[in-house]
Amino acid sequence: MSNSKLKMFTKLYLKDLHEVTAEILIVVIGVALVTAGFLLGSEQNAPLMILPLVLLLGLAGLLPLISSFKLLSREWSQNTVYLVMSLPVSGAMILGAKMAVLLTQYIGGTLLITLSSYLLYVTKLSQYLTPQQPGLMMLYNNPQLLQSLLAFYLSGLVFLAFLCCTSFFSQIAGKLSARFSGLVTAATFVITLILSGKILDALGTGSNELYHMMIQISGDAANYISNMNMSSLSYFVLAVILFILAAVIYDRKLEL
Amino acid sequence: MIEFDHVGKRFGSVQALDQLSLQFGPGKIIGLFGPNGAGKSTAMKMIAGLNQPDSGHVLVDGQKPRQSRDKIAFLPEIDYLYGWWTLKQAADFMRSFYADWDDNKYTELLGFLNLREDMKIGKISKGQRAKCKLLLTVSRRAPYLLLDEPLSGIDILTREEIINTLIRDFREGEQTIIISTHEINDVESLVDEVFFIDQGRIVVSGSAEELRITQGLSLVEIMKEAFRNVQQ
Amino acid sequence: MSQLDYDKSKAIYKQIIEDFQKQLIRGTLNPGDKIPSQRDYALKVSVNPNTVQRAYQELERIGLTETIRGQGTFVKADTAMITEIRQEMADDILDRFFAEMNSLGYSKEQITEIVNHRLMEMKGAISND
Repeated sequence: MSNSKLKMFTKLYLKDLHEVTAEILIVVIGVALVTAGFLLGSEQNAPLMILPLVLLLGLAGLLPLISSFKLLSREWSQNTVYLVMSLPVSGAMILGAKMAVLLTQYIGGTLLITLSSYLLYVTKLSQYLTPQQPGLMMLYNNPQLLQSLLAFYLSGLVFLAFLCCTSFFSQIAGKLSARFSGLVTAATFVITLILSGKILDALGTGSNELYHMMIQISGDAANYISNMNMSSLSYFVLAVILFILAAVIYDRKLEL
Repeated sequence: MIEFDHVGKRFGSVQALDQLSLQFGPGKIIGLFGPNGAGKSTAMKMIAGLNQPDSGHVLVDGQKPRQSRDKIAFLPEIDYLYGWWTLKQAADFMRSFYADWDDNKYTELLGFLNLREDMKIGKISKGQRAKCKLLLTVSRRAPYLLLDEPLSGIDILTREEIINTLIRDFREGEQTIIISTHEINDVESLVDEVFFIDQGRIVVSGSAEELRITQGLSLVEIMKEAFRNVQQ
Repeated sequence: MSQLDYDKSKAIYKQIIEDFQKQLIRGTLNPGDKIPSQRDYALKVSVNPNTVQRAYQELERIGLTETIRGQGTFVKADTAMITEIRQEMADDILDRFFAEMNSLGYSKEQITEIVNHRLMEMKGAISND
């Protein structure tokens, strides 16, 4: 019987996906309620739905980070770590499956909200915007806008991945200490974020630059896109380093 | 063969294992006995690759334990399965990770132990959960079976079922079963070899039958003797 | 065969052999009978299969059983052997009896007297039924 790595990864992925059912449901139900709200409600009330959608967007971006703590710490608190650590697979696969779930959460949640927002726009709000370039035509006619949006989305995704890797790394570092694990986790998380910020500032792709880019969205699009991508790349590299560190410590140093 | 070579392990101020040296030969049912806190669980987790020695080394068939995880089926004392799993989901999970999973054995033992696949791990009784854990562990044809207190807190009838499952499926010559327990009484007739461990050291070891013949005592009585001597 | 009620302070494989011998003497097992496989017997009495194997090997070695490939293990002992075993077991019991009585300080005459007295009582008890 072939026990391919893919099969094992899939099992881990599905198992971890189930563990974050609550967080997924929050977003799904939230979006469903808001969508029902503006589809069934009156024309006047439709614009009120924008705020909840924005809030849900924030939630969809934040919940995966919260899930990242839940996914690891629960293994220890429920003792399922005995099962997981005994499996004949590397720490990279264990953490990789969890990361895949977190990314699924983020992408799924943000896409869902984007779809709902577009639906809201098309059904109720089109009258408020310029009739010359309705809907998706706006994007087709302006490729740079599309690229900018994609670069923006990608950087958000990579930044989330970076935050989750920091979370994994911090929690695993925390587990090295039997008595002060909470403290070590918190400290590692904060220190890693600060250090990362400093490193990227030194490289010129840090948060300062990012902020300036974001408020200059109407400016030079090409510049904006390339800067976003540079930022994404930097955070991606950092995320990978933290992931590898976490996996190595898990494999070599963690004990039950 | 499992080999401990002058293994030391310390947790804070407690020396859990102290220059521990022993060999678990193949094809036998081995009893690892000792009072609570003697170091039995620590030793078992070390074989399963869940912790590492501070000094000395542990080898499983000449390899490090963490490289041998596919040969070892470890049954910890605590509840280590996901509560929302059904038995079927748990079996499906194990099947995907272990090449030595035997579906025929699984189905057969499912009936023998009176379990149903739709049982939810978190909702069943302690005895049924113990049987589920055993089922999942024994359905693998793993060369090394490590059972950490498999009978503690289990009612008598379930204990018998568990012991009979072990007897029924034991592959003499091919499989090694290591049982750690402080209730020696339950497994007197089950073990080939015994290792009495106290404060991280072996105080008595040998073949169960030979010990009975030479000392004229049951294993329970031999342990009492051994610990009385140590305390002096 | 009933559950083996064994003494945990003595070698189990020896008690398995003894149990087998007693069954032969009592007649619950007869020459030519098939005995359970090692695995079945181990399950029945909840004993380690290795221990059962040792007992079965010893039984075969002393000629009480024989294993026919593909068919199982059968009682090989004949009536002469069984009588001999019965005698040996009785001798063992007597040896232990005498040793214990001796340690209590009973002389040969006292032992004979006490044994006869008891036998009378038992006869009387039987005839009063």
